[in-house]
Amino acid sequence: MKKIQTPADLQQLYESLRKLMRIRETDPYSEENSAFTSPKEIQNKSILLVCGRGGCKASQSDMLIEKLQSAIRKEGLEEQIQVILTGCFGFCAQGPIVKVVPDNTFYVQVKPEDADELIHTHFVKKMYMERLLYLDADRNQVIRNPEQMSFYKPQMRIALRNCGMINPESIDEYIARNGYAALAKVLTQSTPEEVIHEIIESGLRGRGGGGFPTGLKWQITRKAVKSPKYVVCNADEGDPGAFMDRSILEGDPHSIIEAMAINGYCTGAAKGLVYIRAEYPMAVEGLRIAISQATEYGLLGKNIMGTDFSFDIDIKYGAGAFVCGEETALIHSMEGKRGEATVKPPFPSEEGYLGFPTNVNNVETFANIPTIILKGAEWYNKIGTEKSKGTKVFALAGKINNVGLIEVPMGITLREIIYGIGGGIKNGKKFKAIQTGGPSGGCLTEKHLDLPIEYDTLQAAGSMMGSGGMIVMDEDDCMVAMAQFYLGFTVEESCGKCSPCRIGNKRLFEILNKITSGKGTEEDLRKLRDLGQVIKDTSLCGLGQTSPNPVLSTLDNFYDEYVAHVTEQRCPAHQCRDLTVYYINPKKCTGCTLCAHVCPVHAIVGERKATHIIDPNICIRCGSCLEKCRFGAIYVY
Amino acid sequence: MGIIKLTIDNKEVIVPEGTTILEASKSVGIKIPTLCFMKLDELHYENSPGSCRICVVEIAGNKKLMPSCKTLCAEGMVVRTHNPRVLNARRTIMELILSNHPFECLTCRKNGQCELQNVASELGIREIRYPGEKSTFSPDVSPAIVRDLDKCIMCRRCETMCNSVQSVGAISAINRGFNSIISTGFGEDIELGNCTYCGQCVAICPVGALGGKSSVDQVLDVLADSSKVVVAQTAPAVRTALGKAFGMESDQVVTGKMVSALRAIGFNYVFDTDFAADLTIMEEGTELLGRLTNLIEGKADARIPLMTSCCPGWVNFVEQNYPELIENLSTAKSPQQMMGAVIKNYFAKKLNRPRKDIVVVSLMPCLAKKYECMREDMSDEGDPDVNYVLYTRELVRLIRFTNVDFQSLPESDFDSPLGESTGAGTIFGATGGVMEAVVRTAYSIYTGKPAPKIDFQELRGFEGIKKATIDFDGVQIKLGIAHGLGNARKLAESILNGTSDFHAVEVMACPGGCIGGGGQPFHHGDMSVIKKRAAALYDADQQKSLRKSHENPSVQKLYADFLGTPCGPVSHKLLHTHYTNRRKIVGVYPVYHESTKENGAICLSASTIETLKTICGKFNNDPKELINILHAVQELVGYLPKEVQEIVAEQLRIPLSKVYGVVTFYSFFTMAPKGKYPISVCLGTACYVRGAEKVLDEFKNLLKIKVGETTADGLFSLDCLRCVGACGFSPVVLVGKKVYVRMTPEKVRDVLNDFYSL
Repeated sequence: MKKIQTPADLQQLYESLRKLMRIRETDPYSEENSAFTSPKEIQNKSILLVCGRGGCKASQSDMLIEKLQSAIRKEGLEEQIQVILTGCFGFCAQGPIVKVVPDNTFYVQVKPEDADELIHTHFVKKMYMERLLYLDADRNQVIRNPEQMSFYKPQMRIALRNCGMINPESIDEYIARNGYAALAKVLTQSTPEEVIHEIIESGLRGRGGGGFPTGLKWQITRKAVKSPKYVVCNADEGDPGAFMDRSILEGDPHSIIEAMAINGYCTGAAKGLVYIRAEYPMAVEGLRIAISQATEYGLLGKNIMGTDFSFDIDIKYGAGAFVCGEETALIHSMEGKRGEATVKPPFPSEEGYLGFPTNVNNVETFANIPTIILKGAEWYNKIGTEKSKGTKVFALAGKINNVGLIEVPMGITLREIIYGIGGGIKNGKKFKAIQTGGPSGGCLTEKHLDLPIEYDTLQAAGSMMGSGGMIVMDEDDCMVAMAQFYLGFTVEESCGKCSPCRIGNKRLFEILNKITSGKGTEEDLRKLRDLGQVIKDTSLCGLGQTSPNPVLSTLDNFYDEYVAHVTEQRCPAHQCRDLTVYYINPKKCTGCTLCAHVCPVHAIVGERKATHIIDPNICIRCGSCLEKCRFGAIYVY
Repeated sequence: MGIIKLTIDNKEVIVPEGTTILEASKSVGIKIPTLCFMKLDELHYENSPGSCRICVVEIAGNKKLMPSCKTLCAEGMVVRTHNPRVLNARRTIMELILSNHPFECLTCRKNGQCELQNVASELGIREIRYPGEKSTFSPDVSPAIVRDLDKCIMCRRCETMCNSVQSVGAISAINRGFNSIISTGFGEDIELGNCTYCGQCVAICPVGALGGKSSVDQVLDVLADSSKVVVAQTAPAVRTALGKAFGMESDQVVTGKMVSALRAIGFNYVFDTDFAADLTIMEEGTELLGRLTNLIEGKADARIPLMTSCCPGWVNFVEQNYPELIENLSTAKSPQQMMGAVIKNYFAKKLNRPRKDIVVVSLMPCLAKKYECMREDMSDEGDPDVNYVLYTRELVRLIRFTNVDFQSLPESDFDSPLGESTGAGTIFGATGGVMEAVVRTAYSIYTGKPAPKIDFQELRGFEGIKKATIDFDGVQIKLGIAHGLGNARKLAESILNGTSDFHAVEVMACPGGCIGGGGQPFHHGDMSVIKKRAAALYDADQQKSLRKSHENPSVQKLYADFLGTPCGPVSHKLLHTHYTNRRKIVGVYPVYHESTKENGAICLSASTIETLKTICGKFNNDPKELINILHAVQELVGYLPKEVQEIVAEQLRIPLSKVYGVVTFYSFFTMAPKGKYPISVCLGTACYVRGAEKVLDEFKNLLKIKVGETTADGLFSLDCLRCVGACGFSPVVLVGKKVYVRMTPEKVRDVLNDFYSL
């Protein structure tokens, strides 16, 4: 017996579930909630929202939840306090996080052993547990309410609206947040053309990196003649440093299911496929649970909510191939083949999975759909810039203080992200560059700090939006080594089908190896540029077409660093081992022998109390001696 | 069909909708160079991966250069095929391909006939600006085909041919990226797999990566040995392909000059395999009638349909894939082998020489014949009936060694008594030719009357599967003809599942028939070459006065003098053979209680094998589910050794090379057992920037293993991973399913201790 047979059933269920959310939403006393709220219901009730996914889970948040629950039992507060496992809050640098609602207290870096003290302090002593509150280093003050944190203030969570709010394994909680209302609206109040029009009007562009207008893609698939049609969710998030899709899948899987069903309705597909990378077993499990729940509730399957529309979703595994994020390679992988890209046109919208019209969309793109439907294109396209509407989820990582997941309106500047939200460079170092778009992107530097972030400006600056990974680099990062790192990745992940990528990228990598090992020439710098441009021009798919970007953009922005490597055999950032020399200043060395002891390869010789010497032929530049020396006697050139 | 107007290099071009830029350019005299592209319409062969990128052109409005072989013309398109940007790109790509290619042109088998040489020469490449590592592979020499994979340029033609056209799948793309190559499952020698030696891969390889096994040196030695009598026999398909190699039109049959050339080379006697073709018809025709009689009399085991057996590629295919149909194969040997047996037994006696003094060299269009002559049944007391097979391209080389001007050679006749042939013998080289020859004779023998016509047009042509019903004076005889092993497979399946009711079936493994054989001069994608060869044979047949095999006086004399009657005891001994079931049976292993390792091979327990099959069954044995299946299988066994891959291949009915190609493509799949606690260090950018490399180094230091290796005690294996998506907590290390975050080199020892203490 399907739980939800009509949209009216859904509405009824929504109303009965609202109480689950009242306490958690910002203003439980708001007008929106007033119809369902009776202050008495929420008096004395609290919920502890704990991130149970991703990195937090690895930091023992399961145990934390257990300990919190047992602490609550110990204090006899089971009636008043509930612990809910949620998805990602985004502030990974401060994880594991425990958010107390309704009073909006945000506890950070909570360890399982803190559980007893936390419960006792906050709920029995009715005091805030200061040492677990977030300390804003700049203002040197403790901030309790996340809305006042510089990390959160500029953010606008649309795709991440439910992450950190709901238990991802509960379809009821999703419904209580208006889940599946967009699907109900679309199925009963609009034609597919009307919905597609709305998506086009919203200005939503593909969030996987391509930036293709989503509504247009849906329209092309709708117009395609062949049948059956397929809806595919690209959950192959392969960009190293990107975890936006993972967080959405783990924190709010139902949003994807709902969006895929809406897509199916619009394009005429009855089958959805989620292609998800094997490196995300938690996301897979969560999605499985969500699909079976949705099916049980009749929100997937035959004749959804009493209409003619039927839709099913299957999961297909990736198996460790970055190239399978490219839509044609992804499709071939779903067909059980090697993930080799094929020439476009024809595009998947016309000829995709098994030769049929297939609409491939990224996870984050899907996550925006229900909101656009419910709040309208006009509301959505007021956010962002003229050509890049809406918000974007970014994964901020690298040498930045506030590492984590953020969602901001398009048009925000890099400066606001790095110094405002990001809290500046870690350890007080100097900002050098930020890599956007992963191995397909380029680096942006100080001169780009005030660039508004949108698809076209980033591309014009030699980088690209990409899927949203942003890696911050400081003065200790060698940009040549960074380009080498990315090319190494590309060479390993290239499918090998077309000549320019298979052989060309390998040659680019070899040249970079030459340069970082001190054997490069100025001629090599010219070669990098020439070859890189040909690879961009002639590669068969997006992977090859963008793989030279890290090289070309670092050549553009950090040419001096390259020149130092080839003309002086010097690495200004002291990162390239072969170009770095560790030297003990005899004037400062006291002969304490600490460095010799810690050297893993016994490259340091010297008598006690006498100057020590590092043998450059044995030294592997690991930096252990540098870390150990208390006299600042070790210099790095 | 709409009409499209576009501009190519400032020329206005008008083409029908659906035309590629490459084709449109050709129509106005612009020949864009290509490498990987090849299309043979009539043979339903199209290889267009669009991957070599040599044919790229600039299209106004497109940011990237586009492959002209794949891109369809659109109204108003403005195309430039050779502006500086395109020319530079094309030449750079050629340099890249050459940078990964051995520089052995002068001693390479393809010297002078190599498509890579041609394009490189056209592009005027003088310098390789981007030298670097070259991928190398061990060479593979089999009885018929030789592989030198260092020269492969990944055009994918052979893969497409072997899989899509021939449906054999002996080779496929394996590995990923720079190391990707077209090879067999596990890169093993093709001799060990299911290659039929049809040689079609050799026929279309643009470079010297694939070729025939050479016997030229051995034949030269033998020709120089005055103690031997060296006898040549020539296949019909050779005489129709030879002329073009010497500058003559390819619609000429150059038999007379061919015979002169062979004499110039030094052969003592030159006989005609067409003679043996006529002989084959006598034997096989009689055999067919015998079986038909059994069928009509209602005898069980009538072995109908009769399937021709003159094509060794087809015979290999049956033995390996359809051993249930072995009983249907004609027991008659191929013409080459019949001739060998007759020469070594009959002719040797006439010469009064022992058989081992006679060396039989057959000139064939075929590579599989090199394997055929080595078959166990094709020799007597260690002396093969056919000592060597030279394919047409080898013959061309031998003729060149004689310095003779082929075109001005006189016409000579074959020697007697094995040089006379009828038109029926001549058409053996074309698809449908054997069947037509059979019909011409079988009709007369069966009905006692001459056939109402000699030319059976319904049996000719390049359609993949031809079906015809011939009225044998009231009895409807149903015939099936297939060329190309993909079509042969369809025929075989229809016979097995009872959806066809043929009485006789002719199969030639090579598309087009023997004229398209793997040993013929290269057609380089020009279908008309193959068509002209077929036409020439049918023409030659028309010119002959004797056109039915049973009318061949020399054949009649042979029976009278020596053989007795067709299918009689002497014929049976010399002119018939048998076949063996060579299907590789997987999943049959010695039963052990546990999975154990012995001599490097893993022995799966019977219950594991059953579970593997169940897993495949859960996914309906659907090849599309290969990746999901491999995940489940690897979860069960821990890794994917050969034995496991073979079972999956068998259950899903896909070639092992395809399964291996998928396993080696994806990083998740491993063919070596991992440690009890597999360690994966994330080297994604965020982790890298936060010092993941140092963490990895510490693991390497403490465990004393490299990435990809397992510790001697089997406890730990070390791998790198690209991004687990926990970037906020970088650096990240996984040990089994346990995740360690914010790793530093100092924490490594503690992590290991967690597991040592278990």
